[in-house]
Amino acid sequence: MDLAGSIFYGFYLPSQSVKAKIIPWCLLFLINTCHAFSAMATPSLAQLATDSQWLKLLHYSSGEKHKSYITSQDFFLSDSGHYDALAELKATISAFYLPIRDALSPNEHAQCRFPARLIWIRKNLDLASYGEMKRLDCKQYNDWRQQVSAKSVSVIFASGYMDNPASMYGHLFLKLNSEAPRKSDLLNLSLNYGAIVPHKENPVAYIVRGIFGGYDAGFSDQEFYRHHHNYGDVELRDMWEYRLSISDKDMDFLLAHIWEVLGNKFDYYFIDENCGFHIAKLLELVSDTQIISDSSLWVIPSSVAKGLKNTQYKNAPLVSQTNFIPSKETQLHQAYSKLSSRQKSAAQNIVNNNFDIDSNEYESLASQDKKAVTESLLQYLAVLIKKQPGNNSLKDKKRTLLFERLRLPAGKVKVNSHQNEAPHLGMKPSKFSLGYLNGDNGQNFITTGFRMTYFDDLSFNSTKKRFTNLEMLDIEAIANENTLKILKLDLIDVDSLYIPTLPWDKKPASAWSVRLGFEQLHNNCFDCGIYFAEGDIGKSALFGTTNLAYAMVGAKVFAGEKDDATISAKLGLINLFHEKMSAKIEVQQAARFDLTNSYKTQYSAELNIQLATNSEIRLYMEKQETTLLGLRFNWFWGF
Amino acid sequence: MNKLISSALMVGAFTSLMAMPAAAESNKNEKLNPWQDCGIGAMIFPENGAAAAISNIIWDLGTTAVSTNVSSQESCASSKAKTAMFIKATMPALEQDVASGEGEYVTAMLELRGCEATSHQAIIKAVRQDMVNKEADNAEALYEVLEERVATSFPASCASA
Repeated sequence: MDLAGSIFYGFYLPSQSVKAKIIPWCLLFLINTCHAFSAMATPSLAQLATDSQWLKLLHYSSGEKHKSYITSQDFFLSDSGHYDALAELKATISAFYLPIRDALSPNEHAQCRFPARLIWIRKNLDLASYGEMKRLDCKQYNDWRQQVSAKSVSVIFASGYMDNPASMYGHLFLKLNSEAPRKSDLLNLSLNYGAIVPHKENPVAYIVRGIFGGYDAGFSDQEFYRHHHNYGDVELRDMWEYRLSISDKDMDFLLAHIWEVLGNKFDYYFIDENCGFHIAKLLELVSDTQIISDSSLWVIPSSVAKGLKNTQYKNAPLVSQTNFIPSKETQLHQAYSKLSSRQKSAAQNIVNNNFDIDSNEYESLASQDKKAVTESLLQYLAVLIKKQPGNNSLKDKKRTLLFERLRLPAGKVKVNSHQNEAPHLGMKPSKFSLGYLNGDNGQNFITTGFRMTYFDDLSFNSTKKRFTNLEMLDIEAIANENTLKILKLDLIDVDSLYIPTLPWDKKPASAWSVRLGFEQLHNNCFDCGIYFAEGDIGKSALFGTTNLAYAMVGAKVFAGEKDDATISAKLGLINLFHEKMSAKIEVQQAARFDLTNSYKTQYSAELNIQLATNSEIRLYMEKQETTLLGLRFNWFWGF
Repeated sequence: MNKLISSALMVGAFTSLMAMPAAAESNKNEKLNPWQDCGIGAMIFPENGAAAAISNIIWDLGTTAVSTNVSSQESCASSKAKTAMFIKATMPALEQDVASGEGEYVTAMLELRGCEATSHQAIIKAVRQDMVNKEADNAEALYEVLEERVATSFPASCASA
């Protein structure tokens, strides 16, 4: 496509091709000529094209060679607009002055497609020297703005979702808050950024393309109730709202730019160019400082939350308010904790009797007690239905309770919501470590390690679920005067050791773990590497509120120093006995899958002492072929 | 409305974004049935409500549900249609609020329906009475009860379309 064609993108008609090609060239000539006369008074177009806000409007990457993250050619009015900010500026000015063609709607005109560029150019350039610009009535844009009618913006953080590896770090999206007369927050518009994944995508392709590229991504605008329901009620994820304080003028500019990016495509990369990154970059349009570094090698939502809390806007904190939005499951546990023993007992009997409410115990309750019982049981069934989607009998049970609740007086039983700690308060996601390792065979080593993300079972990350491990790209090396060896490299080490059943269920909690990576076959050889994949499932029980015991069985395949497939059993205990101290002991027995050979029993113990939010000391012991004793200092950091 | 007309309208919802509101508007004597008239069922919620709405939410460091973009909604822009979409999308949570007689989902539903805030309590009280006697309790049943009540008892308090 030639330059004229690109300027007329969306306007170009073959029957008018000659005219279409002449007009933009004339305008470009005028732009450059007029500008030459006014160069002494105003910045040149070349200077303006390097302005950071113009580059942000084009979603350019940082660095000397700019390139836009947006891949849609429609977003650019110049052929070279995705890497040439000056050419795009000239083409944009030119397009703003183009007349409306009879066959086309004003909505297709550059003024209506790029209202933020128009605001910015009018603010930064004296357009009087270019002639009078005819302002258009942009109906589609105006209708959208009227529907949005936002006066402020919030960033919503949806907590991690351990059922889906891609969701474990959480998710970010925007909520555009209108003011009166709208009352309901659920009806506000939200802006989501995500990969466009084909329906029923192959799981392997899904992971490979998600990480290494291959998916388009983009912003979509939907009512907040869809996300509130999906995250809070369906996926049972707590949310936090970071309400930002932005001036009316900047809010207008931000909304105008959101309109510009809707429908345009980006390349999607799960690790760095994800929702957290592009939501942050969108907000940086009106922020003087960076919320997340352009050079971040990986971006996780909690880092963006920290960045938001640390960002100043017009000499005041950007975040004016933080609100907790409990999930359905959190609401259930809160409701259960507020029930009296009599109410709990009545509810337990209803559960035990297959949700038959015709019992003397229930009938003897006062109306207010019945409301508390039915409402908490409805919460229970709502969660259970999400956890057991194939169990249709649950819906009949819910119907019974709904009709019972309809017969009782209106008015919800109030439950004071406990606010979980917000994600920005947790420790930073990445780790460097330095330590010392002693073997009972007399060998001593310096150890050093790096972990990309995020926490382990013993971490005091206030925002993680208890007894969970989420580590990716975790490498540890040992060295002495004679050798330097990779001790282990976990690509993935994920576990969830305490998945409790719901109130009134008497079954033990569940546990699972998955590991994939490289490690030593046994602990008295540091040159016996194996590549492995391992999975375990089991049960766990909580004693008090801080002690977890678990028992798991698992399987492991590995190749390298030795090729084998094994089955194993492990028992463990985790104790969170102090707010800054935790410990774990574990014993594991593995055998060849056909039980023809067994491996030596492995014992391990580890103590964690948190020194500060972003530092800790670990003391650990491992006994198998030999006994290793180590001390490690961990320092947490993030982009 | 016979099958032929509703099918034609569903096709129309896909092929001509402007055609549907005009068609609905032009026939005020006939009840709007957003499930058929707007093609909502086919467009957004094929069979199983909220589960379908999240079917394409996979990569959580970015999700997508492009088909329901507000910026591309030109069909079914009436209060009734929006209310129907809301009920369908949030029914499991909404029905609990309705049963209790209050809650943020009930408030959102009635605001979306264009009902004055001062009338909310009375409307939901009436809806609760009707739902007790209703055999079905699905999203469409709730929508019908609400519309019936708005039409018969609260026409002056809510939007007309």
